[in-house]
Formats: sequence, C-alpha cells, structure tokens
Amino acid sequence: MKSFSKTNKVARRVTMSDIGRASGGCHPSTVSLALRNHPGISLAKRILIQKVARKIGYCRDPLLDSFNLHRTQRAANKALPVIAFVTDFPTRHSLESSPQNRALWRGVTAAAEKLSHQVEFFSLTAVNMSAKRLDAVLRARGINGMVVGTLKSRPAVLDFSWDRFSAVKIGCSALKAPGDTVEAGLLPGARFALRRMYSLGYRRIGLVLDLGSLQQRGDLLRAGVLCEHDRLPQAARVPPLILSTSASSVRNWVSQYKVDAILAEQTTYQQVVDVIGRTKAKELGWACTDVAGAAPDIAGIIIDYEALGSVAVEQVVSLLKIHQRGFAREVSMTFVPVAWKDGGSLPKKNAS
Amino acid sequence: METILSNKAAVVKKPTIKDVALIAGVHFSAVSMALRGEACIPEATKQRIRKAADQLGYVRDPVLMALTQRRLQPVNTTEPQRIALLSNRSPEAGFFRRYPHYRLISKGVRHQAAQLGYKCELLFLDQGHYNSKTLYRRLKYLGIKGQVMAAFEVDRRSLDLPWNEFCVVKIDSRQLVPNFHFVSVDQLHYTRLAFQQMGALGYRRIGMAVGLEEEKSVDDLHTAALRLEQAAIPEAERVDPFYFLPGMDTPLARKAILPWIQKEHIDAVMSSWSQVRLLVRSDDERCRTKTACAAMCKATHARSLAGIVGDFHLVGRRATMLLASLLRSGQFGIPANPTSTYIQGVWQNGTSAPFLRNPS
Repeated sequence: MKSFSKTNKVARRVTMSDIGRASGGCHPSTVSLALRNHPGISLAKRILIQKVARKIGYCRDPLLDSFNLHRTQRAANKALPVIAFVTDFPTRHSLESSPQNRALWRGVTAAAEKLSHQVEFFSLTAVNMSAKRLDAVLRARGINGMVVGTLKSRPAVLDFSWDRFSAVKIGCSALKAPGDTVEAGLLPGARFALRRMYSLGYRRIGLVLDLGSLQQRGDLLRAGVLCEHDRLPQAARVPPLILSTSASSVRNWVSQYKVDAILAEQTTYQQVVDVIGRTKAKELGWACTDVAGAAPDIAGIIIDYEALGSVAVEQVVSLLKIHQRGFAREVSMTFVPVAWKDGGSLPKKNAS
Repeated sequence: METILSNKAAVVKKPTIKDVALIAGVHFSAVSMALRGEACIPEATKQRIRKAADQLGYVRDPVLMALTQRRLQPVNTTEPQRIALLSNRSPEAGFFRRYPHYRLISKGVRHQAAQLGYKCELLFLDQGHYNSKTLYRRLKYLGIKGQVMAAFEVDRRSLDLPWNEFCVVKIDSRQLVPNFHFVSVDQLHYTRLAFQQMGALGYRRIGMAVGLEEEKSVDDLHTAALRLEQAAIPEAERVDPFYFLPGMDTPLARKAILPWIQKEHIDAVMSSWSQVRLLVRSDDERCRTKTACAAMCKATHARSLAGIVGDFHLVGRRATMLLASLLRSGQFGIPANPTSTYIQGVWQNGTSAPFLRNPS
C-alpha cells in the first residue's frame, strides 16, 4: 500500500486532501486554512500541516490562485481577509483632513478591493489605545497584514510583536523597526526639479530643509540636489540649508549664495519667508517639494500618494501569500515615481 | 487602475452561457459543449448556438477557459505554470562563472518561484541562443506570461516583444526600455554605509571608484550617496569620485587609478568592483603604507575583503514575488507607475581595511 502511494505521488499532483490524510486525517479545508496561516487553526496543527506539506512536496497552483481571485472579485465575499492600516491619527476623518492622506487612503482601499482584501483603520491614539493593546486586538482578530501609514508624531519604537505580522511601512523613517518601506522617489524628483529650474533661467537654486522633519525624504532630496551639483558649474552650486532656529543664518545664506530660487516644503518655505520678509521672498522663485495641498499655482514635485498606498497594500498581500511574517533582516525600499508641475511661483526668468 | 475597474464592470454585465441558452432555446450545457466544439452536438444546432452567442456578444472567459481545459486533461499531464528568467549573458560568456551574483539572483528567483508554484525557465538572449523573435516563439510555446529580466548588460539597449502579453519585472538593467517595475541592490544605502564604516575605522581620505557606464546605468546613485556623506565632513577631506572608463580591464584600470590615489592622498578606496584589492595594491614592495580598500557590493562573505555583502538571493526572491503579484492580478504590459525596489545589505569587516589605531 505504501509503495503504491509512493509511485502514485510521482505521477500526479499533490492535493490538499493528500496533505490532510498525511497529517493524520484533517479535512482539506483545514489544510487550506492552515497553509494560509489562519488563526482559527491551532498553532500546533498549522505548523504540523505546513511541515507535512513541505515534506510531501505540495506546491500551490498559480492558475487556481488567479482563478480564486477572479471568483472573489465576481461575488461579494462575506469574509475578506483584513489588512490593518495603523496610524496615529485619532479618527479616519482626521486622517483624511489633509489631501495627502486622503489620496493615500484612497489608494490603500482601492488596491485592497482589487486584491479582494479589506482595509480597516486602526488608530494608535484612540482612547485607551497603545501599540501593545492594538497588538493584542489584532492578534485576537487574527489580522496578520499591516500597513503602517503616516505617523505624524514620528515615534522611534512601536511596541508590536513584529514577527507576527506581514508589515509594510509608508514613509515613517523615524520608526526603528526594520522592514519594507514604500516611499516617494524624491531623489530623481529633486534632480529633475533642479534641472527644470535651471532651464527656467534660475542659476542659484537652494534647497531648504527643516531639521528633523521627514529625515528620509530630506536625505533623498539632499542626495538628489548634491548629485545634480556635479553637472552644474561650480558657481551654480548652493549648499543645502538646514533650517535652524537662528534667523540670521537664513538671511546670511540667501545673501551669501545670492540664491534666486528655493526648493522647499511648504511649511519650511513659510519659515524662510517669515525671516527674510515677504518683499524679498517675492523676488525668489519657489518650487515646492510636495505640491499636494499647496495653492494651485505653486510649482513643484507631485507625489503620487494614491500610488504609495496601493503599492504598500500590494506588497502586504504578496507577503501574506507566501506566509512571510516578521521583518526580514535585510530591508527594502520601494520608490514610487514622482511627477513635476510648473506654476506661477516659478516664473520663467531671463538668465543674466 | 481605471482599466481594471472597467474590466470588472464588464465582467458583471457580461452575458453568460445561460443567456445564450435562453435565446437558442437549448440547455446551457449544450451551449458549453457546442462552443467547445464537441462532436455530440449536431452541426445545425452548433451554428444556431454560435449565432446566438455572437448576437449577445458572449465571449469565453480566458481564466475559466484555462481552468476547464486543465480539468479536462488527464491529471498526470498537468505541468506547472512557468515563468522565465531572461539574461543576455549566456553561460558561454560567463553567466555562472564570472558573475557570482547572477548565480545568486537566479537561485533566489527559482526558490521563490517554486514556493509560489511556478517553474522557472532560464533563457538567454545572446549569440547562439535566442533573439527577440525566437524568444517570443519559445515563450509562447512554453505558455510563459511572466518574465524576470535579470543581468542585462549595458550593451543591450532594448528587446522587442509585444509587451502587453507579458508581466515583466526587471532586476537592475535600468537602461533597458521600456520602464518596468524593477528590483535592485540599494546602491545609495551601500555607498553611504561603506563610507560611514570606513570613517568609523579611522580612514580620513576616502575615495570612491566606480565604472562610468555602471554609474550611468544606476542613475548616479553612487555619486549621490557619496556627495550626501561628504556634506557631513570637512571640505578638506572630500575627494571627488574616480570613474573607470568603459572597456577598462584590470591592468588598465590599475594604471589609471594609482596616480589618482597618489595625487589625492587617498588612504582608503571603496569601489563597486569586487577586484578592487588588485587595483590598489602598490607595486613597490618597500612601500610600507598600503591603501585600504572595500567593496561596495560583494556577493560572497569572504573575510579578506571588507565591504557590503549584497543580498542577491533576496533580490531574486523579491522580483519573483512582485512578478507573481502582477500575474495574479493580471497587470500585463508596461506599468503606468513603474516602482523601484532597493534591497539593503550589511557591512562586513575584512583584512583589506584594518582598523586604524592612530588615524593621522
């Protein structure tokens, strides 16, 4: 009997029923759940079944995978797997008050719907909520997929049991948890911005960054600008300014380098304007590093927040598919391309 | 996104064989059999049913069609679905021998493909292997819809395939048009980490040497990272990067790099070339001071060379994972928003860059 089943095994594909039989009489649906790491099956049984599946060489069928996706897309499914969207905005309403996050949320939900998953909003700052408690809530609900979205308070640690989750961060560079991150491709973006501003006639373009805010984005912008400096004549290279508290340093920087255009985020630019005065600022061109939410005639870099959200969800779903829990030792950064928009804040200038 | 949504709407409204059956006045199983061309349905009925189907605009669903076909096949002939790993560097040109990282990438792709239920075919675009035309035929024959394009050398600029029939993920090979999603080792992070580590070891004048063509193909990421790191050190310690010209082999590169080392008083060189140790070794045996060196991206854990160990296996795995996700959701063709994914690495100390006790 035994040898018979062995020869048989070579000839045909191993099915879930085979795994069920080999792991001591489990129903195929139990096997299916266990292979997908469903918490409804006890941990011991899940591990047993996954081990047996590996041993007898079960391999999933991509054709059936896409068929399943096709099926779930057609009929309204009762229980779609849930991905947690974790943020420190207290409510979804407050999250969606900024256009960036509104687009981000749109992207997240659209991608989830496309892939037959469901996104649920979880706040770290709701009443009586902490990372530890949220962790327990997610565990109790059997939620394994997680997108860590916009954390405005920029915590360095979050007390999650990371090894339980398939998690992807959007930005959140301050968070010390290593792992897969999705971010806007600001390095090529900054390079393009500089080139474009140069072609509009600006010769002394300065990047201004707010100390500490958005460290990763700041680094990407700085790297882009410094790299582009190599292509510009020595005279056109203006070292980036890191905004500090002293007002004189800003004034000195502008006069010393004869800055004629500024590349900066909206709030940072406002700080510069406050220091150098509105009239002086009017003489300078300005390109915003993130035009979302800025006035319509502001020139600058367009970050596709919708794409950021959807790419993050796609990655989480991929990780869930291969049961990869926990952050890997090596981390990855995925960049979503950015676009550029001309505007009234950066009029064409006659190069002198 | 929009096309997918509209596809979905079309699926909802799409006529089914039951609608066709209603018009033709037959049972829906007869419609199914007639459209599959089974002999047991009389020719006249078949024609009538086909006409009804045309009238309604009924189209067979390719996913369901594939599934039916599979179910009707004898079980033991079921072949796993395949994906292709393409390279333009054939084994004769040293795909496995000369480039250890290619081996690791293809291992990673195979590993992940097997885990997801795909079989991986390694195909080469090179003299004596495939060209665009024969490749297309081969892919069609094998029923391959997904490809990972890896290790495309800079000399090959494009590949002519009807892209909307395929899902594609690139590994490196950024110069290759059109733009697909791509996965690569993280040159920005590698360069920064190597620079920081060399600084921590006590080196003060750190020079970077990279290939000019390679630098172009990675969009100057090495230079960008170097400039970013140099912004944090005194201006006197900043050294402009050295670029190997295209076509330089080791002896030529050595001839070019040694004067640069002397002129700039460099005490440590970091390079994307893994044979960097051969380049910086001084001819003069009496010369006591040796130039330290580190590789910015090495494929092995060899202790003799300090540097960043790149996880090429993970690069292969990630690319395959991305490909599977594209295949699963049917995102064929050239993406509107091609993403770039970079995999970070870890620093490893080595004898080529010892710790300096008294940094001068």
